[in-house]
Amino acid sequence: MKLRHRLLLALVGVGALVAAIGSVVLVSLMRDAVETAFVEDLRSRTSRVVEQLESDPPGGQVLAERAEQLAAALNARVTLLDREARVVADSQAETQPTVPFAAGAQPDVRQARSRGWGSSRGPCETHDGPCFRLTRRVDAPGTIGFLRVGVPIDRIRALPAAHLTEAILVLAGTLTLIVALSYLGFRLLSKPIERVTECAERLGTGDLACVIPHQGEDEVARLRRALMQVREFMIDRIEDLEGSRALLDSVIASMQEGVLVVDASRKMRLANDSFREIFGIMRQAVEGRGVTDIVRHPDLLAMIDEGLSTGEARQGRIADLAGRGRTFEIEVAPLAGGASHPTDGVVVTLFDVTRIDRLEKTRRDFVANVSHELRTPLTSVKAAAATLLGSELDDPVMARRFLETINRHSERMAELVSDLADLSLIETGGLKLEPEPIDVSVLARDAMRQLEPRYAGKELTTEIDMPEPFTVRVDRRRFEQILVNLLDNGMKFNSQGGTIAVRGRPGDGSRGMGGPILAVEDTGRGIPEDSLEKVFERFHRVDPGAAAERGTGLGLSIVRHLVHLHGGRIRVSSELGKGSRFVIELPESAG
Amino acid sequence: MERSFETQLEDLSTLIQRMGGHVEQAIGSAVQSLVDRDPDLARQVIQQDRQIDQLELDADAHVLHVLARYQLAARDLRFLTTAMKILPDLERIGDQAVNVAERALELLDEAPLPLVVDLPRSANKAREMVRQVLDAFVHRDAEAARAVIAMDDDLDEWTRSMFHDLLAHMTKEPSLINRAMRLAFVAKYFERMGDQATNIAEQVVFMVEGTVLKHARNFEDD
Repeated sequence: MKLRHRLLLALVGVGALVAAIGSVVLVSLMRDAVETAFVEDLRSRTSRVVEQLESDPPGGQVLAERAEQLAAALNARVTLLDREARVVADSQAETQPTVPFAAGAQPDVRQARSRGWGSSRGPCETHDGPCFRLTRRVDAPGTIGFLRVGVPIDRIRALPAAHLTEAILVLAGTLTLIVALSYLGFRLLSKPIERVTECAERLGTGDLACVIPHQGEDEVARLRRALMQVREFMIDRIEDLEGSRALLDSVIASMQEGVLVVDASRKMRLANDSFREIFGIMRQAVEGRGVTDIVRHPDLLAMIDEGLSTGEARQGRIADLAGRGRTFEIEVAPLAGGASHPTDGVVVTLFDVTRIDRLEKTRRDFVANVSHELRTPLTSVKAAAATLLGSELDDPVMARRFLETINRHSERMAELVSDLADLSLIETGGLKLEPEPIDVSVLARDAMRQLEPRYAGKELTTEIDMPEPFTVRVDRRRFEQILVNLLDNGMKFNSQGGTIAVRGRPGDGSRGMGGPILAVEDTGRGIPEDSLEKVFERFHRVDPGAAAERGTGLGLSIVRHLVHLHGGRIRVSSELGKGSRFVIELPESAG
Repeated sequence: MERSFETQLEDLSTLIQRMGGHVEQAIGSAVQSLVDRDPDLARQVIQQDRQIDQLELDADAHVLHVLARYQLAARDLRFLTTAMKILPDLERIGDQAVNVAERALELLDEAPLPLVVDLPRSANKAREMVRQVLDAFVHRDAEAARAVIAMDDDLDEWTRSMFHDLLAHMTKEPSLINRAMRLAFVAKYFERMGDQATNIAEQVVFMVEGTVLKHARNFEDD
């Protein structure tokens, strides 16, 4: 029950009690007042009556009549007593007393005898209840010595109904007013308490919006102030926590590594942006879903299982993790507990090592390739030299043949080493070009001539399609190297009986970079679209499973570097099965 | 200590997803072993097919357990019976991957073919279909299942075009026939994977909508 209602109830209770007692007391007091007034009035009227009697004393039979008269005048029982206090007339007696009743012993009579008047209360002869008696000595000649008047006390003390009703109404009215005003007062008091309570309840549910302004200095005000302080405290703490949380969130979100948290029941709890990018789940909700919903790779699942059951960290590398060919370094670390308790979950970190992996593979391939490329000619050289040293030195014809073999293979090795040196020089920025006006048509012809013997078996048609002379400002040696590499490529991958062409156009400011344009075209097997950009990478092989290609895979890489050093650019276009076309665009300054 | 019914269903979904993961890995490794001429990888694929088979048995047993143990509502009953129907299809996809690995091993004995045939493209498509169809099943998504069925068209077309190319080469260069035929088989295996994934997709559509798509495309019995 509400506070103010309880107070009200208490007040009403107390009020009722007060009213009860009060009314009893009040009524009693009123009756007393009425009695006193009556008695006074009776005394004065009795006095006048006695004066009358004294001036006109009655005698004989008239006494009885007189008594009745007096009784009517006084509205009370009148008893006339003689000087010996014996009753001689009684207004109330049916018959006049034959045996005189001596009332001398009555206190009021004795008082009257000595003082002139007296009063007493005693039992009524003709009534239930007590009576009030007033007696006056009559000082006059005649029979009558005393006048005794008697009234039942309950008649004296009777309150007129109107007064009683009035009194009760006033009392009731006053009490009601008190209760009402008090209730208002309680409300005034309990309102602030109610507000504070409401606010406290709202704070309890986490609603921090409640603010009560400061008012007054009583206990409620103190409570109010304290509550507001609690609210301030909560707001500060929450802000701090949210700040830390936001910091952590942004750190995790910005991490390059993919992060996934998996709980003990193999449900995902958190996945950062990098993780989402890796698995292509940018917008999906992750919280609460089973980990196999997203992660299916058996090896990764095995790592997570192990991490969850042993509580120990695990590392591993997994290739082609999310179906798009990327390789990842993975760490699975327990969240809490360590090796001795069951873990709360694990944190999975994914680091993309695709490039590193590829670079490592490239390096391995390169080393393998170079050793292979060197070993083959070296074997021949060694064999030839061994044979020469063994026996053939004496036969000049045979000796010459073997020496030619040695020479040829040495050439080949020299080429390879030269390529390597060039590439290294270019990549470290040590290569300096010396451009001068060169007739490229002559260069092209020389290059073709140089390579034809190597590919005689393919029966290729050669074509040189450019102005003669075609003067371009380039470094002679390096540009020859470009042409030789491109032609070598074009012929190596050409089909039997195909065509290899070199075309050139002078620069006219409108195409490419504004300078001269050269193209090398072949009718070979072509390059797949997704490899087009990669052909210029070092050691790239279009079809690694295909017949072992001669060369180190460096040629095109060197070509591109050299073209860039000339300030130009090189593009390739191709159609599988039809052929490829390499286009060099030079700047205007070369034209 | 028995896990709740909900958890049992989740466990089944997880088992099937794991099995799917193994199958995806098998497809990827098989095609890679072919392209890289890697005998160890090929052998690994063949070996690990056992795990796929084991997972099929486990999942099957799990389904039977749940069927026996619980009084099921229609929806859950359909989920479980569909699971039973798709498990063999999934296992067969794994078998196709083994076939690819076996052809890869055979090809290693001979010189590499001077041909470029984009088998990885088909392999990736098949993998995608496996992944997406299992997602559709676990999430009871008929629309996603239909999308998988549509993906099969690409696979069929690529297979046709690869056959065409291989045939052309074989006609021009009879010495290639032996090796080219094997590549043709491999192309076919990926196409079969697509078909099986499509079967699964049809089951999923039926499970969710009650629409029968089975046998609607052609009259050949699988």
